[in-house]
Amino acid sequence: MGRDTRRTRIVLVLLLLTALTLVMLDDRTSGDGPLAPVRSVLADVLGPVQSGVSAAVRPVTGLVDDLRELGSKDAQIERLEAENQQLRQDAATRANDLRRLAEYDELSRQPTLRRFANVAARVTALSRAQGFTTTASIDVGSVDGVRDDTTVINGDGLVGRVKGAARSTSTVLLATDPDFVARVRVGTTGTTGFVEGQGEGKPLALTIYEPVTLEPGTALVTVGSVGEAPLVADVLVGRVADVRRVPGTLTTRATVTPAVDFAALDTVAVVLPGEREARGPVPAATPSASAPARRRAAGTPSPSASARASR
Amino acid sequence: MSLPRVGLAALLVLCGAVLELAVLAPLGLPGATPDVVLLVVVALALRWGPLDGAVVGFAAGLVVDLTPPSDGGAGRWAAVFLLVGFAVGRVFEDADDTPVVALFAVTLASAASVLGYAALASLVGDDGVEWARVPSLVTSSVIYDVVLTAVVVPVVGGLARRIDPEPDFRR
Repeated sequence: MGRDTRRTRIVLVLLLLTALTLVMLDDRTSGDGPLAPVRSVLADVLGPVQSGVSAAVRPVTGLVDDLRELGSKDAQIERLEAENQQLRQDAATRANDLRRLAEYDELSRQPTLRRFANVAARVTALSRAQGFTTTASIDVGSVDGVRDDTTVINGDGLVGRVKGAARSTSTVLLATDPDFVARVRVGTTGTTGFVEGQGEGKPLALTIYEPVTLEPGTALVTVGSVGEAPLVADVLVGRVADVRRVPGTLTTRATVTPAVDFAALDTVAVVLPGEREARGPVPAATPSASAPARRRAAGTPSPSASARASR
Repeated sequence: MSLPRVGLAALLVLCGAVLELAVLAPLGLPGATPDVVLLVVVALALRWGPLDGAVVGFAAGLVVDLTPPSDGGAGRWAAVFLLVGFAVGRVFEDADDTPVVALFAVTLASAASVLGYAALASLVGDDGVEWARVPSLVTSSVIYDVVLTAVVVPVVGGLARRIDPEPDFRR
């Protein structure tokens, strides 16, 4: 540092201290640090720009996707090689459109969306791989009714949850992010456990604090949360792949193949908070139900209610 | 740092961040995401020297930290790019303005930024850091960034030369 001027040293040290202060203040796990307003303003400004750029380059990126898929399909390669350059470009962009249409179609059949109000969205940006996070920007925000801690799904199952809703874009914490945790229910037995993300391209990790037997391929669905936030119930998370049980312990661990293909994430839907169909009581199995139910049906006040009234 | 420099740096960094997160990250290339912002920092630090390199690095890192879809952990890339900008400006202060120097600087900066971020994140207790993935991230990051150097560094250098033809960072 001998050749640096005093000014360079002061600036370097000051900026480094500022950066490290920010590191301490803005803990990744807590979410709303003092920088949340700054991040939200930046999301309002850069989010629409990202949406625009993403929409503009989508035909090109779609082409890359399609071409990459060709590498694994010899028959398709042969068929496409027979066509001329123009036709191949047409087919590639059209395949992208058809794929999107199929994704919307699948979304419309997604059972969760029949139960809740929702808004369809598209992924406009992804986080940098060297940051060890997997988050995505989507092109809907608070003006579309999206709030923090709402469930994001696609036609296949659970995508993640909204972690920051800006005006017209939102940030989604994908299920593969190391910070993501969801309570899940084993489809066949009803046992609950929890699933955690392990990073990009990795399967999810299931932990159940009970010695249960799990078959590979067993479906896992979300348990859901009070007030439907952050996750609604009964969304498919994934299927059990490898079960590991250490002898002598009670904990069952397994890897889970996510239901969603996170490498090709495009069309998603956000479950909107606060609106859902009303839940009725469990219908009586036989005409002669329990005694209190009969009394209510006949209009007779229950003993405790009449005692209160006479006092 | 003069006003034209601030304007140019802000423009390049914001364009780089949008390009990187909205176009390059969704391509799903194996390994790391090609780091256009880092290339902007390196190119400007080579041109403007350690002090302005450090300032540009800090600002660029903060933009990366805060641009959606970021979700916390602000200051990490700011610290990493600050040191990268300073070090590149310092080490290559007296070097000639040749493509070989730029390639060498980018190779070092790319590897150092991935390693530095992983080290800083695990230092502050981020469980998400997987050291097993770091070697492949470093390798892929260096490869992508070296390839992109051929496009980004001459463009950035040319623009920087246009706003002040004679950089006077040796004060």
